[in-house]
Amino acid sequence: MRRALLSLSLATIGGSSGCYVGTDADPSLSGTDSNGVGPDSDGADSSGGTDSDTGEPTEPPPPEVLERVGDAGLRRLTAVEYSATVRDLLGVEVDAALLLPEDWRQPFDNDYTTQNASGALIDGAELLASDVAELALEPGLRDATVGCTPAGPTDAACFQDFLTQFGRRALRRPMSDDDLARYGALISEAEETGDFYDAVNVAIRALLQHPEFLYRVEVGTPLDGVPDVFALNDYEVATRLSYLIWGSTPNDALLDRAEAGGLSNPEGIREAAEDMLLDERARIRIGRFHALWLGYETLPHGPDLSTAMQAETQALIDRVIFDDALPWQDLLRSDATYVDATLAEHYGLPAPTQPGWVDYGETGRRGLLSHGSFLSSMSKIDDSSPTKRGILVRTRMMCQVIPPPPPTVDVDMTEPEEGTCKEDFYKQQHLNAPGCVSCHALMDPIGFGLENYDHTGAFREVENDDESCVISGEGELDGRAFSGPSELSELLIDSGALNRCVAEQLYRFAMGRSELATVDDSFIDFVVEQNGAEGDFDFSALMLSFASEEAFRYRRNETAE
Amino acid sequence: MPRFRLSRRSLLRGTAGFAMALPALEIMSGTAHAGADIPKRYFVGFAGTSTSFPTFDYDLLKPDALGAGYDIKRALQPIADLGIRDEVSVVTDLEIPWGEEGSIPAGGRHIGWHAHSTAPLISGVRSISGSNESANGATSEVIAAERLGGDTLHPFLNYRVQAAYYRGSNGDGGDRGRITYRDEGGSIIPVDPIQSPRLAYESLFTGFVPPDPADAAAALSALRRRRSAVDLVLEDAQSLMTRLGTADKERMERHLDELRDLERRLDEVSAPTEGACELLPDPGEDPPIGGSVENGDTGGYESGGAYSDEEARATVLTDLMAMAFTCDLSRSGSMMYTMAQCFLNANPLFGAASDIHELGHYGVGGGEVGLNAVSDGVAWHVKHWGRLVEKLRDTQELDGSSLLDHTAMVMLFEGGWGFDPESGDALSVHSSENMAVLIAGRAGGLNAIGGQHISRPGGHPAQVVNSALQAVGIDHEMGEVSGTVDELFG
Repeated sequence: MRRALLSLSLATIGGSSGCYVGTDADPSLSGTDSNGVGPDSDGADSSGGTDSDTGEPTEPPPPEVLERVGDAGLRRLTAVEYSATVRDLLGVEVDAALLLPEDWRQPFDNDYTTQNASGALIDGAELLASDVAELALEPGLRDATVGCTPAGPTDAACFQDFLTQFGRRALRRPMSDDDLARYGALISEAEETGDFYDAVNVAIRALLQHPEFLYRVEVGTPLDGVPDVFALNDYEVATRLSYLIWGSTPNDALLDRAEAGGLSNPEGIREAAEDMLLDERARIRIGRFHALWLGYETLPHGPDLSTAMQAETQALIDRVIFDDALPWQDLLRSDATYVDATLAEHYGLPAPTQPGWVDYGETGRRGLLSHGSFLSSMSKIDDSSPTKRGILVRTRMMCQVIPPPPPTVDVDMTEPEEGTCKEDFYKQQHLNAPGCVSCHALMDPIGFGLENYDHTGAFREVENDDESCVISGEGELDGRAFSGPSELSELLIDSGALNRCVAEQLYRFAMGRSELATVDDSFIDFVVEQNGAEGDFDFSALMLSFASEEAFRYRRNETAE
Repeated sequence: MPRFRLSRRSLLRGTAGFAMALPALEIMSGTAHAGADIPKRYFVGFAGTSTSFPTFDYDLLKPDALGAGYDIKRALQPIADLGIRDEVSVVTDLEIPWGEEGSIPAGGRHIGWHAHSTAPLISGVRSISGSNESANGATSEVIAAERLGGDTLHPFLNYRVQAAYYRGSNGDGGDRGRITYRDEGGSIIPVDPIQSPRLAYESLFTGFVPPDPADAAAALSALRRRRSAVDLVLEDAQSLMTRLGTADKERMERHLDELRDLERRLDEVSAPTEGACELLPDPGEDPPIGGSVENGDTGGYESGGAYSDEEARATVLTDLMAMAFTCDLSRSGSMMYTMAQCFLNANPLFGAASDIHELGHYGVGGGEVGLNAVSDGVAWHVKHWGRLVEKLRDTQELDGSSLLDHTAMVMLFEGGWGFDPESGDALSVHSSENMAVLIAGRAGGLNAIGGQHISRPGGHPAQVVNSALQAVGIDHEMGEVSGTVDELFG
């Protein structure tokens, strides 16, 4: 069922090119992700309905929907999601990245197949929970945290109210009677110390270490005659929605919708998702998707320049996707950009007195591909790399896969000798060498077309101040010539690969899984069909198609290879 | 003058969690415990750097003289400064073999350089491919913990000093940020290090109760609350298990195991500290994590980018590791000082405005300047590893011996210098020829005649690890690498 990521995409680009296919095309490439997810057997858990908490099987959806239901496993909150979640739950600011194990970027930071519970996680989560509990019970926040005023240190009714309200929000589902009884017994802590808030403190700590807080747990209801697929309940759908659109926990309004059964059909989900997209958190989340996807979440520049570049791209995303509701493609076509004086000077644009929008004019820049954020991504350590920029465009924006170099190639030998210009060097080394040209012809010519922009996004006429190496700036994508980010953007928009690739990347981010299978492709294809495989599409509409697609309300147990 | 201090076992097992009676500890009262039962300790350090500079056919690590009383050059200068030469042996001329994918030899690495030597170095098992940097066998601190751990609070401690990868767009360390792996029934599972000094401190001193009665009461009630919370969470996790599919069950089982481990640690209340075992001062909030610096941006290095006060982090984590051994809270540990292909800013460490990796590539200049800078980078690691040697040496066990007498510790470097099969260069730093490993401690007759320089042409660095394990009484060969360096024991 699971396909190697490589094989499909090789077919996409390799068909006529004869690009090198080496031993890396074996499954060991994708096998590197299998850490921690041991071999899973279909038969092993089919006995006794252990996958259900609700017992009674429900009617399955039509077969064409079932074919679009992807695998979903336990997903730990990333450090960024953790911080956002406790901010929304309690108004508390913590930097979870200081204490939680590092989240891998592949390129997204939420691939659950890379997550392995460790002592460092358990201890970090415990310390974070203790920090959060302390902060949430400081005088300014305490009343909001608890929600009622205890009549005395052992006011069990107020404690139950708190547990009912906060427990539901922390666990993203109602507290069961058993939960309330067990957590309610913590009032003994208040009896011991004479301080009601000591009991609250312990309850917050426990709930923030609860596996249903730390992980997004989906169980669902079994389907009649379909052993591996489960229908998510409304709360599970609410959680999927909120982490997809907000990168954070459902609020009371969303949980209320779930409680009222409002998320058990695509119409209800769409309605909820539309409201959620109006929230500020959606901007941050969608900005973060782009930053992880295109590689500018962190930038290798000083803080001022990095921050200005990230703000520039976020401002464009806010304007195109949210404020003006323009087609997503306008991110690539914008003829103005949001800069501060530092960044304007860096680009050679007129410096605004306040950070603001400046027209590109005749500079040759247009849209996101001319942002320093994008142009810094996948650079070499101290220069742009035409090859790596080609990889960036092919793999991230066209969702093609380029095989790694054959084992005998020294990938560090990319420094031209003194007196040789870089472009000539690349052409000699890569494009005139029989073993190299087939793959490098897919990458380097894309990078050549961006060479007038260095690895910081600054414009240049010559290579690294060497007047004898004038940059041609002439590039090529699949046989079509271009020069500069603006023309490359047009080619990408016309390539027919872009729309599906955006959906594919969003799917990886939404599902928390880099490696895709046939059922995942079916989901992506279905959504792409709704939004158009070519021509303009609206990113908010794409998000809504995801959320309200029937298959989004189901999950598949991970299956054996 | 070394200050001898008394090591002690400090843990009391609270039978009902917090039934805290703290009897005078008889085991501390003198000779009753002398001799045989002193536990062995094992430690492994890792530095993400090679040891020389392009075009040089030597390094400033390898002494000229063989045997005891070896001469000390720039890269090992801290060994002289700390006065620990008698405790540290230097094994040189080691080599990790290499091969192309599909023909990587036993204990070997993929010919692609960066981070591919780490897997065979730490596990003794060959790396898989050019696209995989993870180890394929259990690592030595985990193996040591299984045999030495006993009922210590932490079977092993794995810390990392370098707080972030510091390089590239959205760069994360990935496998470059880990040196700890365990074997779970044939699946090799990476184990995240603790990289927060604050977390390491809180985790290590969980059960310590201050002597002042009021403070002790507060500490005990804090422990009780933590335990109450974890008890509830354990119940929650167990009940969740029954509702999960197979793969999720496996994930939650691992989480539950670690949670049970925390519960166990919360049950173990330490006795009042005495002798050398003491509650260290709280290191406070962690230094903030620094941002990336662009290569060549001298100003960026000078203004302190790519740096999260690793100097302070290394100091705190070393102090904690030493105290963990002293108090017998753990008997096995590892410290990843820097990640493979280390992009840590060298400027705050020793005034070279570049990162550690780039020092080996003309980051601050070539020739002697470059070689000296790389050597200073090596020396920075040796200094912190050496501080641990010094601390253990200066801690006295119950029978009057030094804690180091019961310890074996090694220091591994990502690379050496010499032939780079990838480029064909004869004198490259992208090379696993001419590697060196430091090994200290006197457990099991190790370094019986003091620190020596031993040349072992063509030997594998993991053979030094095998020797360290042998010294602490563990007859184990790392992965595919057999043999020990017998001269270390004679």
